[in-house]
Amino acid sequence: MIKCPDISTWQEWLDSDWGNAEHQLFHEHLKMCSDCRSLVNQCKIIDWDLYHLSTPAPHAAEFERVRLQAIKQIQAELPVHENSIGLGDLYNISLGNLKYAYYYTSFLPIPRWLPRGSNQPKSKISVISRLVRKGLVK
Amino acid sequence: MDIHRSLIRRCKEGDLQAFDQLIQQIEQSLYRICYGYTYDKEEALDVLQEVYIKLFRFIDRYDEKLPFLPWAKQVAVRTCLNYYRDKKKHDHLSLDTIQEDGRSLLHQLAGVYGSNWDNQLAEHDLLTRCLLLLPDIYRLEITMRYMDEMSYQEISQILGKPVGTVKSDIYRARRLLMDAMRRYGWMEA
Repeated sequence: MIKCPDISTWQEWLDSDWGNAEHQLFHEHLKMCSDCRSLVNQCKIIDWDLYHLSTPAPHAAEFERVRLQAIKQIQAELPVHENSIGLGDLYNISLGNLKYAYYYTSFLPIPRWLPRGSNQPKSKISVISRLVRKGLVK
Repeated sequence: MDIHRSLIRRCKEGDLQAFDQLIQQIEQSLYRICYGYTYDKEEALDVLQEVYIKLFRFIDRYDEKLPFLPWAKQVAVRTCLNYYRDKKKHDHLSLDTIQEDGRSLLHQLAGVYGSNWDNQLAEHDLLTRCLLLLPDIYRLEITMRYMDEMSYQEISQILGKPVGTVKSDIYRARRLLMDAMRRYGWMEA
């Protein structure tokens, strides 16, 4: 007969992911040892009690209330989209437009006033402002 | 549980209607975790609301290759653990100095409910109250194992702990519960 195992071993045995032979060995021990039998029974009782602990289920309306409250709170936390445009926005838009302007004017021949042999103007703003002044770009 | 990918994608884009549909599908599972942590219906619903807000806040971090429910449960578990840490509600029942043999648990049970409290409580109440006195993490593991009927493997994934640690935590929690029940005559000594 095997020596009395400790409570953790019995709990593991109850979870029963052991091989058959090992399981059988402990089972045989239980038949002979009343102390271990009582311990295993107590483990089983706690297991049963825990499995059968009731969870009071809330009504569907209560779940809905919680969902709505959460969504309200989320909405309050979301950033507000204003219709007004700030100076910063205007600055960014104008920068973007300049980029686009340069992109759309890149097909144009290089103006005569640029240094010869240079394909890329150094300052986009200066090139575009000169193009605008010359009436090539509106 | 099969949660439609497009629903999650819409949530990631900030669609609150899609989010409402999504949480409706998993509310029972999340509620069970919250209840298993608080053992109080109203409080569990409060925590559940907090869980929903966190889910929406962190949904961008969710990897769509992985199943959604375990991720949502992970968020719920973390919210539960933070809930009392923030509010310090259960200070008077803290079991931080718990002993291996469960002595401090028994001492507290006797202190909180008096010497003849065992006569006043039904077994179910006794077990619930004992569960409330367990360390937070034990209580959550017990809840996931018994109420949610999750495997050790699933619990270990959600808590980010090795399976062996989860098993030994649950064994220790069961042992503490058994000792408490035994001490107050609900089980043979």
